[in-house]
Amino acid sequence: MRNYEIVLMFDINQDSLTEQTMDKYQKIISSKGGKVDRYEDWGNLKLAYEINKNNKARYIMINIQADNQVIDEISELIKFNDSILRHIILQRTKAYTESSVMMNREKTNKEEAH
Amino acid sequence: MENRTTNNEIDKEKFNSKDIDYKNIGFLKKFISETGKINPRRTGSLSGKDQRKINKAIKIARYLALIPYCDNHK
Repeated sequence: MRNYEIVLMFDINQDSLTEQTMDKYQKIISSKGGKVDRYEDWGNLKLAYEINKNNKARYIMINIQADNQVIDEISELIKFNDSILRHIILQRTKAYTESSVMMNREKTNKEEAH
Repeated sequence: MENRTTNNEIDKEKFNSKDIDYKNIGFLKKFISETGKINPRRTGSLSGKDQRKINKAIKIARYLALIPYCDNHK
């Protein structure tokens, strides 16, 4: 069992599929004895540069504890999923459960403006 | 060279290596130039260890389109 952090960038034109695919992945993780520590939806963010002629994407990040077979299976599914523009799978040293900087960003931006 | 000061000296006091994360865009933007390049270590006040961490974080953030690679993207 290791800790992983996965960031997925979904195509906003196929937004109806986002929830479905995330449910599917979470079921796979839990059925194989893994655990989801943190699930974050960063919402639709503006991209710093165009990706496949898209200016925006929906970002979803999950932190999980799972075996490498689960990661192999999910990465295979991600590869053949057309609604995912880009993804990254990182290995982490510990399990993260607190909300990340990205979720607190709106608050801090407002504070800085005042 | 004795009294050499850098722009980042004020930041050094607040600097905490725990803040280094590809998700912390506002923090990472301190370490890139206007054109999007990563600042060299000689212009900042980072240790070698921290500079390596920053470099990695910036490269991940660029891949995820959170930070631009350069200033003339189409």
